[in-house]
Amino acid sequence: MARDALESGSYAIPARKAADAENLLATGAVTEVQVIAVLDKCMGQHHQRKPHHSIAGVDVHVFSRDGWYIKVYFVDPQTFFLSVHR
Amino acid sequence: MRFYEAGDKTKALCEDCGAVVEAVYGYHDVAFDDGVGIAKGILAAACRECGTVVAIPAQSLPALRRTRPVVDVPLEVELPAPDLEILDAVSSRVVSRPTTRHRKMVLAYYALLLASRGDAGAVISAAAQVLALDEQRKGKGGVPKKRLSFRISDEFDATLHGLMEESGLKKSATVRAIIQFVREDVTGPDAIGANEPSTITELRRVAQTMSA
Repeated sequence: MARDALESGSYAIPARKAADAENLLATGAVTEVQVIAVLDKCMGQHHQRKPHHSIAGVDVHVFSRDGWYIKVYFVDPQTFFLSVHR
Repeated sequence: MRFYEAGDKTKALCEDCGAVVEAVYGYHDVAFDDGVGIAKGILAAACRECGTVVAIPAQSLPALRRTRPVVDVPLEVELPAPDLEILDAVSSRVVSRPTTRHRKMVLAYYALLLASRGDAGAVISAAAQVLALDEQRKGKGGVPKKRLSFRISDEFDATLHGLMEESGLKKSATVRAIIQFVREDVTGPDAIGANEPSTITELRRVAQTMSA
C-alpha cells in the first residue's frame, strides 16, 4: 500500500511533520523512487507495527533497513509518511 | 500522480481532536511548529471538526519546500594538488570558462552518482586506489597540498555524510575517493572523443542547464 501510494503520488505528510528537516521525503532530499527501493528490500524482520503515540486504534508501520528508517500509517483512503530518515 | 482539488474530502489524524477525522482540502497558510516559516496558500487538508490543517498532499510539497530556508554549510578539505587538477580538467571539459563553482558541481555530480548506486564497496576500493597513488608519489618529490573550500547545500552535505557513513571513511578520504572516480573518467583511454564517458556528456548538459 505504501509503495502504491508513492508510485501514484497519492500519499500525504501529516501537517506537523511536513516542515521537519529530517523528513527527507518532505524536504525532497530523497525521491519517491528511492523510498520505494528501500521498501522493496524490506522483509518481515525489517518491519514493526506500533500503536500511534497519541491516537488509539491507528498502527504505525516502521520499516528499518540499510540505515533507513521509514514510518508510515494508513487512514483509509490515505497513506501518511510520518518520517523518512537516514 | 493523483491531484486533489479544493473541496475534495479525505480522512486524516487530528492530534488536536485526538481522533481519525474527516478532512477537506482547501488552500491554507500552513505555519510550522518549528516557527521557521510559513507556507502561504498551499493546498492542504483541514480537520472538519476544528479546522486544524492535518495533511499535506504530495502535490503541495514542492511549494512547501520553497519556503524552507536554504542552509549552506562549509566544506573544507586539504587535498594534494593533483586532485584539484583533476576537478579542473573535467570542469574545462564541460564549460569553456570554468570557475571554482564548477569544481563543486563536478564533485557534487559524482557524489550523487555514487550515492545513487549505493555501492559502498566501490567507494572503499577507490579510497584504496588513492592510497596506492600516494605511495607512488612518495619517491617523486613533494606534492603540495591545497585547500578545497566552498559552501555546499545541506542536501549535498547529507549526501557526503551518507557516503562517509556507508564507507566508514573520513571526509577528506571520501572526497578523494570521489575524485578518484572523476580521475578514471578523464584519464581513461576513451576520455576524449566520440566514445567519451556518458558521465562527461551528462555533466556538460548539467553545466549548460545551470548557466542557462
